[in-house]
Amino acid sequence: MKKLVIVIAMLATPLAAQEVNDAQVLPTLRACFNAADSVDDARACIGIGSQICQDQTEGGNSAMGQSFCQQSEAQAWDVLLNEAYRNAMDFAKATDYDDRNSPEFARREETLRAMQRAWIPFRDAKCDAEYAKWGSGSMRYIAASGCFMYTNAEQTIQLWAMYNAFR
Amino acid sequence: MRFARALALALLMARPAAAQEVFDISATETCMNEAISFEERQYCVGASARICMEYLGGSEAMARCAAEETAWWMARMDVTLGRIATAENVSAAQGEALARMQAAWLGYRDESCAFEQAFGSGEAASESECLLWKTGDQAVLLEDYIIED
Repeated sequence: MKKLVIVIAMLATPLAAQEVNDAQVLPTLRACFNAADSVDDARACIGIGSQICQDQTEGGNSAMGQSFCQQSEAQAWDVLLNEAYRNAMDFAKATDYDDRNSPEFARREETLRAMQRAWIPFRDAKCDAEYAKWGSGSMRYIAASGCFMYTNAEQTIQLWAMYNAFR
Repeated sequence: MRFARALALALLMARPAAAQEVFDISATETCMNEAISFEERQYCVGASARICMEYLGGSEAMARCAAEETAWWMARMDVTLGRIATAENVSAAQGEALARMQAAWLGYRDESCAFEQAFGSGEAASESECLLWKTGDQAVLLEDYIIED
């Protein structure tokens, strides 16, 4: 996580990039994700926000620009992930309540929370390892930001698909 | 007394085949030896468990078939981690980062499969199968760290 902060600090150049991010990345991603009917559809949205960001940011296609834009999309997925988590949690609480007389089945809220808590250190350690894999090579920034983007996206899609399947 | 013992023995011998007797890792192992890409290796996960499940049937047997293959992937993953740790082109920092990832992965795998079972059908087999898919996927992913296609 510390390395990620460094990546962000290095990329915080005055590109007006933050404006592109706020105005375009999340809304573009959300529109794509909301229109998705299947896991494959949803996966096809991965990278769409960072591409918009690269196209519209000065220097967006440089290695630095690419890493910045992937980071923007990672943050946008994080917003969607929180929404998917809240939906899943509301569903978990409601169905656990329905099963309140059979506590062996009423474990959705508890297991959802434990799963999400265990996922965060796994994501951070996984993306740290991706960063470390490249040593001092310049690829390490893109590898780390791409890892956060893909891992946040996959977790969002998994929670969303689960919620759609069982609600 | 002798009759009772003979009966007990007969019952013991007539019990259905257990997963560890039927399970044979060769389908998964051959698949891994022949696979030439990451995607092909991913496809190998579950090959032996599937044959064992088809042979035995029943959800308890399915859970045991899955557990047998999971144990094989866990052992294989340990070998891979050992190879990565001693590989010349892997630095100490890289090895440590991978070890941290592996520890975090294990915690996530268990919580994630408990969650999937709690949300899903609640069948005993589903959690064992979840553990198999996740363990196999992680083992294949780790091997990719050192294998060049």
